[in-house]
Amino acid sequence: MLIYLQAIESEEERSKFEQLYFQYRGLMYHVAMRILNNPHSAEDAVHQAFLSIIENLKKISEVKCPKTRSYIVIIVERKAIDIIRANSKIVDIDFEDTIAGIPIPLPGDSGVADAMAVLPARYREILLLHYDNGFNTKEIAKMLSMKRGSVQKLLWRAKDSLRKQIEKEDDPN
Amino acid sequence: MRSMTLTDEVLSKAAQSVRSAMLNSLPNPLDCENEFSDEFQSKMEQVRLKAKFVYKKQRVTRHIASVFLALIITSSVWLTIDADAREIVFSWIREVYESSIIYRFWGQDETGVLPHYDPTWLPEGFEQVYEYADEMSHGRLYQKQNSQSGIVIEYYRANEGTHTELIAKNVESLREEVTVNGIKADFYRADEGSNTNNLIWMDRRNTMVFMVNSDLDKSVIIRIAESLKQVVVEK
Repeated sequence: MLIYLQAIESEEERSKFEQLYFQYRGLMYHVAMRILNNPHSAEDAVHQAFLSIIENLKKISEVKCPKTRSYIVIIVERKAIDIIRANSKIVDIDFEDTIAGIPIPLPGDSGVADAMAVLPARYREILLLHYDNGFNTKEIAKMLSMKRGSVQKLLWRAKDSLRKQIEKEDDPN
Repeated sequence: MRSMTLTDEVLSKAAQSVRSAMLNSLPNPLDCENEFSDEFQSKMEQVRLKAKFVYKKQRVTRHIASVFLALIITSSVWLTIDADAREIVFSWIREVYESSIIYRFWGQDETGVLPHYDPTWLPEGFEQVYEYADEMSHGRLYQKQNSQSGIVIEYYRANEGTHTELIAKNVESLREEVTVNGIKADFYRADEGSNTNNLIWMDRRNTMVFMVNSDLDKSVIIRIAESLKQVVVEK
């Protein structure tokens, strides 16, 4: 039994975090291992991801749905890449442009979706969070621990990168 | 493709396709069982406790009690009401429903700095691992290293319109009247599927509501509650 200050909430909402934890912790570890290939670092990424998810629980309407699963995968992928960046000796603001993240199979439309799937992880992630999950820049800023202005710039760069990728696919030469 | 404009609609459709491709390339979450390390499980236990804190913190806003009362009467079965504890400056009622109990408070709004209370006794080995505080409420989580046990001590101002809800099946049957330093208090033992006992009492003189929640025994929880003392915090 839990006590809630000022709360009139359903049983389902109350245990949302618990459900997310037991439903997705294994998948999150799997995703983190793909990127980090180190059990200790992968667990660290999962832990960091859950700390982020806590702060955004209200944004999750349903635990077992594709959009929530996608959001969870994106957050843990981001945290895993943050660990790589923190451990890297490379000091380059565009360093992340080279990190692909988890490999995404081409959706097969020979168009925008295929181009989006091959973008660097940070561009693909922000496009999915904004255009699929429907989070606004303020919400994304909170979940990725970024300034809102930086998220807006990143979104702009992601779309620019997507345009270039489409052009590249149209004209490989 | 060259003439395609990247409208929000086009981008949403593409993002949806990428999401499907990404999820299809990953195993089913239920097929991803992993033996996590003790260190991870211990850290996650703290995160899970923090989740409860954060959620509550987000909920601390003021409401007009009469509006809520009207909503509840129409949406739930109101079984009993315990209004034997009214006082002029601070009154409260305890509403008993099928699967919840709500404590509602009315009184003169207290302003200024929230008084600070510290436990002067805790079971051996427990240390503070998390704290939140705002102008209305204060909460602390104590844990014992390498243990799943936890103690949550919370208090908040019982200003006009505040209320606290306990949710559990047949919650009233879990209640036992006890005393904390001679003040009447309600102890709710853990229900099925939970290990958290709850103790709640009110300090009418200071218009404060206190709660101690823990998996520890009733006698230990009451001893912790009785050890709470108001302290002056140096700034």
